[in-house]
Amino acid sequence: MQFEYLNKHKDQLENKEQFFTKTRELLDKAYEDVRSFSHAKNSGVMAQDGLLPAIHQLIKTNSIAGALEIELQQFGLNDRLDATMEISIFRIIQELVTNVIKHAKARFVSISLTKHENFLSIVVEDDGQGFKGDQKTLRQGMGLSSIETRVEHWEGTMEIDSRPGKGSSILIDIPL
Amino acid sequence: MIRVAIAEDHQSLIDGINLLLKYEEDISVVGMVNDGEALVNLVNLKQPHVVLTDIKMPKMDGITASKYILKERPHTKVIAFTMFEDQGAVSEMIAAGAKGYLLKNSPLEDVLTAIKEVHKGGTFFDKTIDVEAASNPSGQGAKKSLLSKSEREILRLIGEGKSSSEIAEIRFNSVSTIEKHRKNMIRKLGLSGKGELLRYALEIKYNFES
Repeated sequence: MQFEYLNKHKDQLENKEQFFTKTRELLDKAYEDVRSFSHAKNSGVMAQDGLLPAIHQLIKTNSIAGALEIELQQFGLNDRLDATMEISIFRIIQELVTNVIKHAKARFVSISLTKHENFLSIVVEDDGQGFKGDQKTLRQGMGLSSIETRVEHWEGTMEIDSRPGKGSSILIDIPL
Repeated sequence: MIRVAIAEDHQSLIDGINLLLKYEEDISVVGMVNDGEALVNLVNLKQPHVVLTDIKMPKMDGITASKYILKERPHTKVIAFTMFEDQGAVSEMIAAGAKGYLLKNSPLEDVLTAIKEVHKGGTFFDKTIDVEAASNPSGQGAKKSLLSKSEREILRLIGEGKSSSEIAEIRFNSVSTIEKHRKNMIRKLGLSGKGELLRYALEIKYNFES
């Protein structure tokens, strides 16, 4: 997905070196991923260090200085959650970020996690081109259905809020 | 003699602090201004030892002013003082190089203690402030505020007295998105409900730069 993004934005990328470093990092990471998949099917960072370091890693891998900024705001997540839930949440965020990179032409992505007393609020927003349609078609068309399956597994709720040209907000609540 | 400059857009507060400091033999107030730009000029002109500054001010906020001041005169000691305990703002002030942080409802003696402490080379932070957390915010990068960009923007609109549906219209969001953001802000800021969020938005005069 990084390549797709780079291709779209190649005019903006003045720093070739950055491009190559990034690409090499990605290849290394891909190799690592493949290896860890074959071992455990779920990423090593998650199991070892937990949700936040994994998201930081995700941000590091996917942001590009000057072209794509990804911000994480978290509240109350310094204690670990249930391990299976952490993996689910990570996958949800990973897929949302991937979606933004693939479709949104965004320059800014915000990931906001707020732990309430009995639920976790996940808000992923971007300033990209947005999309049109009702909740149902959006869910089917935008690669969001697999996310919804994960959300449903935890009996959570998902809302999609987007308009053409006005970015998008995906708001997910997962009961704890 | 400790030379002190004060920047604060509420004249009454300036007057109060000035009154307090007037009777201190080893403190002299070298100037009082109402915005950040004027503060930078004042510091260049009068070279105070200690600067007492509000965070949100017209023209230039206290964080930006502090950065300018400390770049030009790194030995200046900056103390921020503000209405609310706001971890994000504290973080930004500490990152900018502030040595002290006072809340406007701190006892007046604290103002004196803070000035003397930072002048000696120490620090003074209001005891309600978690300095460690503020110095090492969990978010990465330069954005150290507790609130996301959207939340800061929505908080600003709340502070302008806008309702959720008005904010939704302005931001091209649905009302329920705005309500979710509100809920999250209330949680993060440790407030008890919508009323307190409005009060917070009004009183904190949040640093709106985003």
